[in-house]
Amino acid sequence: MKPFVNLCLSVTLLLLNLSCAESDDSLRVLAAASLTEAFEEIADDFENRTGVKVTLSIAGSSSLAAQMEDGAPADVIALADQETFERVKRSDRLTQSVETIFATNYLTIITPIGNPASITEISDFQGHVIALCQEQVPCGRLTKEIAATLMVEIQASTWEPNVRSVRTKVELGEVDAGLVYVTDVTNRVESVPIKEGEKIKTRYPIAIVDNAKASATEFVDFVLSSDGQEILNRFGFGEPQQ
Amino acid sequence: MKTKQRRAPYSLLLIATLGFALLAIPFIGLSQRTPWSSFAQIATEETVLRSISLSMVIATSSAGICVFLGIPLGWVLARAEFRGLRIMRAIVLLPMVLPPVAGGTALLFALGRKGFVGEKLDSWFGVTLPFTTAGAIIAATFVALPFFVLTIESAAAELDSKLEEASLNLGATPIRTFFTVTLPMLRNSILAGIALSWARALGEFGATITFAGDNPGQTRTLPLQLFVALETNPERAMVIGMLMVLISLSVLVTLRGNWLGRQ
Repeated sequence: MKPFVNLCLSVTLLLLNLSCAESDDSLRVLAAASLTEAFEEIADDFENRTGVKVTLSIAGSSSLAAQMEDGAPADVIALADQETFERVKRSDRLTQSVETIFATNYLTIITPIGNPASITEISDFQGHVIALCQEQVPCGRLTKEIAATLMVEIQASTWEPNVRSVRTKVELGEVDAGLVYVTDVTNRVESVPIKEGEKIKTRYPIAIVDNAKASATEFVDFVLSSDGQEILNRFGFGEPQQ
Repeated sequence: MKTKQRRAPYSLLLIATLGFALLAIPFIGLSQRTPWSSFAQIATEETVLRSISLSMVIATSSAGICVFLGIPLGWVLARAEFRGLRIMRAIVLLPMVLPPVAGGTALLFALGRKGFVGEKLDSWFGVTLPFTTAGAIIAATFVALPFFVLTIESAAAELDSKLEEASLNLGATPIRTFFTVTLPMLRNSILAGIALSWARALGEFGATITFAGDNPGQTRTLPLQLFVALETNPERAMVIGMLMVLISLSVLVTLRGNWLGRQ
């Protein structure tokens, strides 16, 4: 019996230990899926300059908003649109009620290499296998806006939970086309610009969470600095003033 | 509390209670947050009803395929002797331990439009599985089948083979012996396996969204609807979650409990 009790005690202690290990001194940044590569580079640069380790937590903006509501640990949050940001504001976990816009983005059509279904514009989607973003994520909202502007109805074969899973389905050739941000275009897909698509933009807000570590302000400042902006531009993001 | 060993050690009971609490408490949390006053109204919304009926179709088809493929497979794993049996058993169990998203990705590489099998299906028969109900059934079966096979395998391994030997000695063919002697003896395990695999298929999410995508009316099952609702309408998410708990619980209590002959 005794060794058994000992075992239980040590398991309990181990669990306690692990639950405490979470609270290290790294800066926790929640970032929208479309920011993945740009924020990885920004985080690396920031680490090199300040010595503060950054932990990126990447997901669809609406998932991040839900995480904020559920009390997920975070110091900085960067999302892909202002509508989702309204939800984060309502969680009452932000230091300021006004967000700062740090980048812009817009949508483009992508197809597998060779464009097997000869898609040249959104009205060609009819009758093909199409992947689009679910309505509640920013790229989905933008997709809806574009459809309304062009006055076309778009049907998808699959509504993906974030913009990166749309790209994956196109890359794998499982769908004939999809709508993603211009910043998501890689050399594994072909991009077909949407006429006047750059006029329908999404704006990326960033904000500091309540009780954030001191380095959170530094991180946001770095994103907004010319060096931070240079990285974002290199990945195809537009300037915030536009 | 009465147990078969009349006096269960208290320390064991205490730990058993802790273990049970870990599994049960989350559902108490869910039921507390469930908006019971609007439960019936949300549960009968058209989008929810559509997902319910789709989930029923997919889980039932999947359980049917599990029976067809799983009985022979479980029997082979329990009775056959050949090199590679161990690795075969491990592969059969793999979907139980793998994250379903990994399973879904694997399915896409094999059965997707550009997968090495899917490509043939497309060019020979014009059949594409991703984003269709058939694809969702395959994804659900992929994760549910091991549960069924495991139930059959352990039952078949414990089976007294004397009756089967008698049948063979009396001149029945092996296949006749299988159908008239082995299968009836496995009856309860088969029914229990159906309940378990049906419930697992009903709850399938990761492999489905990866392989079959999210296509309302085709692949948007209750778990996928739950995922969307969680980000748009938390009340609806809680109702769907609770709905799934109630359905699965009643299936497991009434069917699985009865057929395994335990109280």
